[in-house]
Amino acid sequence: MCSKLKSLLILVVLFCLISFLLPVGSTTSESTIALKLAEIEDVMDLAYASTLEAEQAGANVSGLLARLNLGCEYLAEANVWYRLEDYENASHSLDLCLDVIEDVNEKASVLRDEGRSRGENDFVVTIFASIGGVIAIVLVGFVVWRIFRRHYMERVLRLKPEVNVDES
Amino acid sequence: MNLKECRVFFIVTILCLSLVVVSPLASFVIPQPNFENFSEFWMLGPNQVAEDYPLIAKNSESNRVFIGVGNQMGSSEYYLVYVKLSNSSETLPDVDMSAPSSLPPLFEYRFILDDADVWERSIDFSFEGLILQDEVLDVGYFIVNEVSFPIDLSLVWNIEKEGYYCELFFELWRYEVESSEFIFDDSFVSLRLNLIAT
Repeated sequence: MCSKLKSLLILVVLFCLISFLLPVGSTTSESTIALKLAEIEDVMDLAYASTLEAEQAGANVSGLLARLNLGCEYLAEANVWYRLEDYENASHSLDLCLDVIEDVNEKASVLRDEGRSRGENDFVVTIFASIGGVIAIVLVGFVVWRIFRRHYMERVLRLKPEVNVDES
Repeated sequence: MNLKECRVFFIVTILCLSLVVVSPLASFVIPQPNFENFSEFWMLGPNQVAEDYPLIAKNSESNRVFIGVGNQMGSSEYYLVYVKLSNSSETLPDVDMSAPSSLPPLFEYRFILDDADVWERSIDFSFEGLILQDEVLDVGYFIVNEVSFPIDLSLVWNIEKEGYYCELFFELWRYEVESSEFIFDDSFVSLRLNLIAT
């Protein structure tokens, strides 16, 4: 009875040990790291593409670029560790990379939308300001022209013809 | 100046003023002129000038070069610089064919560069485990920025240049959003090194 309990206890301990060690082994195996590397490279590519869109929409993306550059450093490190078959360090660098860039995509999308709406507003304001400005210039020009013409005509009418006296 | 001339002067003045007022709208309507877009890629010597490049690498002796990239692409660009090592010039990239070297990279740099911005880094490298045997120089380790890479590189005696030469080169790659992948930017810089075992 006691030996049965003992062997059961050993089995339970072994099971616990295996279940504890297995995930650690699986997260640092070559194939797992290769998969993780590919996934995080995709996240980085997407974050860069979104940031570029935000930049083209006229948003200030300097903060996002700084974070992406930090992420790039970790990603390059991870690639180097992976080539050296140091999967522990590769995994650590990938985790750091993901921490830095995981919400960049979302923030870039928000900045892109803000930039686009600001651009549209600027366009509308510029159109109305330009049309209003042109109308104002034409009206002011017309009024100035009328005043000028009146003064000009008065001056012309005040002029008396010059009489030349023939002394001969 | 008669009244007719005055009228012409007024109309021209109003037209000119109207054009000035409308000019901000032109930036939305008229497309920006297309300038030539390109990336700059350079290598400098240890004093950050284009001279005194390391040409001889002795066993365990550290050497330094500077690698730089300039972005003249008109927008932010995502770059990748691969550090590769070859035992012959035949495996260098072929810029005419836009073909990168088939050799696997050892070290790499990744960065995103603002338009008209410049990136520059120093690269410290050395070779260890240089063993000369039967007129073949075997290289054990290539160390870049304190990261040691075990390599399998054998160099044969170059009769013309009298030495055991290898090519250390750097390839510039750029991320292309349209194809969602890095493409070789047709740029590379290389350093021909004469390795000395002692």
